[in-house]
Amino acid sequence: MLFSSFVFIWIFLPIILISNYIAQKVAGNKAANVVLLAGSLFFYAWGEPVYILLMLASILGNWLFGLGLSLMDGRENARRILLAASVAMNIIVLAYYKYAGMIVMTFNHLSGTHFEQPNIPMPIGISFFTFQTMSYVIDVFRHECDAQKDLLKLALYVSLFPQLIAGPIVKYKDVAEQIDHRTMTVAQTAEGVERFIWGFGKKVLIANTLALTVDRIYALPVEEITSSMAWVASFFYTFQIYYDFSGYSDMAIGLGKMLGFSFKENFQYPYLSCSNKEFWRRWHISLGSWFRDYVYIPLGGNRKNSFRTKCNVMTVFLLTGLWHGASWNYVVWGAAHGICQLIEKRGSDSKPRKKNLISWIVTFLTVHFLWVLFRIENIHDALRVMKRLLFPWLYRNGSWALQEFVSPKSLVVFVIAVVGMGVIPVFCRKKEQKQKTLHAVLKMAVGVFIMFLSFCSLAANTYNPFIYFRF
Amino acid sequence: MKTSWIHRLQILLFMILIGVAFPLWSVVGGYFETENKENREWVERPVFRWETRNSYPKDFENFLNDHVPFRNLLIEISSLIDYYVFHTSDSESVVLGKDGWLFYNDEESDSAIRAYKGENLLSEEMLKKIADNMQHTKDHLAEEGTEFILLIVPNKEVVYSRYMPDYYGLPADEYGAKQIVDYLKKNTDVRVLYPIDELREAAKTEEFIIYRKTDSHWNKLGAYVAVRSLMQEMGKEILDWRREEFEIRRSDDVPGDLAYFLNLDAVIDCGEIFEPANPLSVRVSCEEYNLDAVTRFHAECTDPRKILIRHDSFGPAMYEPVSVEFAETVFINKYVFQGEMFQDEDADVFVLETVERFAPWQLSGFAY
Repeated sequence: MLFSSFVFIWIFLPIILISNYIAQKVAGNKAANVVLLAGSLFFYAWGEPVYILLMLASILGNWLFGLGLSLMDGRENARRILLAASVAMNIIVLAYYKYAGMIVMTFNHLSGTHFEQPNIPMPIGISFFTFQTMSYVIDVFRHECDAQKDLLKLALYVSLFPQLIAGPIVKYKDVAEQIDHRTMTVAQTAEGVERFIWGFGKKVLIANTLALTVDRIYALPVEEITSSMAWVASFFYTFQIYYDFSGYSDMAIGLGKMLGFSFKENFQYPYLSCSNKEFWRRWHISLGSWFRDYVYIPLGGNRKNSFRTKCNVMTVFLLTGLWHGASWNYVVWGAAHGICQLIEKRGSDSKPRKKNLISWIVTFLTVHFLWVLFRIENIHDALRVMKRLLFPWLYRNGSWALQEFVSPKSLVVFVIAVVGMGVIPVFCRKKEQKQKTLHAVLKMAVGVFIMFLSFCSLAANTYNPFIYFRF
Repeated sequence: MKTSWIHRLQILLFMILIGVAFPLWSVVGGYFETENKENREWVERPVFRWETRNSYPKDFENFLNDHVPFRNLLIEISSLIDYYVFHTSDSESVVLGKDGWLFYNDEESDSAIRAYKGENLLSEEMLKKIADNMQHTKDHLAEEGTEFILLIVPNKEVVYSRYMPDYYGLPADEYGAKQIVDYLKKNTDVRVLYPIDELREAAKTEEFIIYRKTDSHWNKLGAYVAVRSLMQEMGKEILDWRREEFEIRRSDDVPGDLAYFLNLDAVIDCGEIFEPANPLSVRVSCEEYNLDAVTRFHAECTDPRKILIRHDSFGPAMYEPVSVEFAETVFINKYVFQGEMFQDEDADVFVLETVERFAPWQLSGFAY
């Protein structure tokens, strides 16, 4: 069930919000937890009627591992074995459902064999809930949180619908207290409403509009894509992916607040970054934090020699790329970011990196350039598109006019996207303290307008006419 | 807190926005338009059964998407904003031309826009296949004493290119339909008509139009121009539309198929529709009338022949000018046309009519 769908926004969401509120008021957190768990499982089952069993099995398995770690307190070897078994179980599940096809394809390619590539449907959100369950077990192992004895509470943590299918990746230790003790305040709920609305608008009005241009251009054979088309598609995609992903995170965080939960931020205007390192502190923060805490630091981080540090950085970014998709283009994309990090590290780490216009431009263009690898699954095609970006004079002529892909509307939305990537909030921050009431009323009016426009856009997407009658 | 009333109002407004649609619709839904304008059947409400439980969510969402409260209103508002605020087509299938003209760009089949740009060129193999089919048809019909004429109707885009967006440039000199016509003329003795010059000449004037502004089809005046060429091909002369005595009736046009594509049928300026207004020269009676199947006319005219026309959606506009010229006129829609109809109808003349954008696959797949 997508957040940007009528079944969610007009049926599921009002029911769950009202049910949660009544349960909380009448019987407190316990009742609210039951309502939320039931709602979250229904939410997941709606999109995955079969694989909900997989998620439940994963929750049960990790719960048992958590209990086992707690029971084995003081017996470090046994705990290590349990931890290894838990991580292995999670990774095997993830590898099977997400990477089996890629593994077989790569093996065939390298060995010359022709094993049949398995066509295993990938459960929605498996990357997210697997990382969440792993983080729980690892944190229990590290004594950073107590094992949760109540299976239902752990199930709620893993399956909580706001962040289940698209993040942010929430660590158990960050919400454990909130599962047991949370209060819903008017202010927090209103904050959640505002956050959700902005996220909804970002996804429906901006990301989806930009996607139309991007999809049409990238659907063409590469030889038909001119350099101007490539630049348009790559720039549009740069903002499409940001507004899509951050929009979803905004909605998740907003929903969390409406339900009494406080999730950490997942995006902090990443396109204002002046270095690749800064970019990854602002982009998909929860994923970066997960890899830092559970991969980079356990590998030694930057506490070993220079060579080890570089290896650790590359490992993290290769895995980051792989996490995003079961295809080599994602790995190459991750590797490219890793190389950028290493290049930046060549300077002294103790010296703070200079933030200036040049560093911002270089960072932005680099990130934008690498998104092409992320978007186009065929690496060969991606490289050909990148050539069009780098050598525009070689690919000027083509049979398509740019206006066939870039409508006045998409251009306006693109300008709004660029302005909204950080320019307005940076300049408006200073004025926040003045005229609070007027500001709040204006924001509310804009929010209502955004919701209404989004409903119109969603409805328009359901309109599917044919010029000749179809049954 | 000073701002807490704003917070409460914010929450209230949000709950209204997400929670009121269905209850409100149950009360006021009857006052809103719910017509199905999409030329397809809307998805019906699925019934939950254990055997189909896995597909039920998707089926339900598809059903809901077709029956969302205030759907038509929301779609219309979205279309209005796109059209009037952004001057953007809400549909990939519609190109916004100049002066409110709409053009068709269906990329699923042979696109009129690709034809306009000359990007739908056919291979030698395809041209030969078409030629073989047409020659075969002509020869078999000739054995039965039936004349065969192929009529290819030009796309609106190439006739009214002056209203196409500037970024498309001028129509290409070489394109699929022209290839077919040239190839047939060179390699077969099939009589092929592609009246683009006549239609372009008629389209030059600003006094009337021969294709509909918000529709992908021609109007009856455009059909008349093409029928005149068809009659000339058969050695018949009908009143020249350029002559003073040729009368034209004009009236406000209704929304065309492209206007419905944009869901702007209720508001868009559809322009005027033009049709020949001269009284019929002979009595014509209609014995059967079905645009989607068979339409028959009987005329008290001097030409005793029977003409059979296999047509597409451009055919009905030709009914009048053709039916007055032959004692019997039969129009059969391509969707119901079958080979045995040749024998059943036993016509003196068979016309295969197809619009330009469908010509390659219609003709390559046509079999006597």
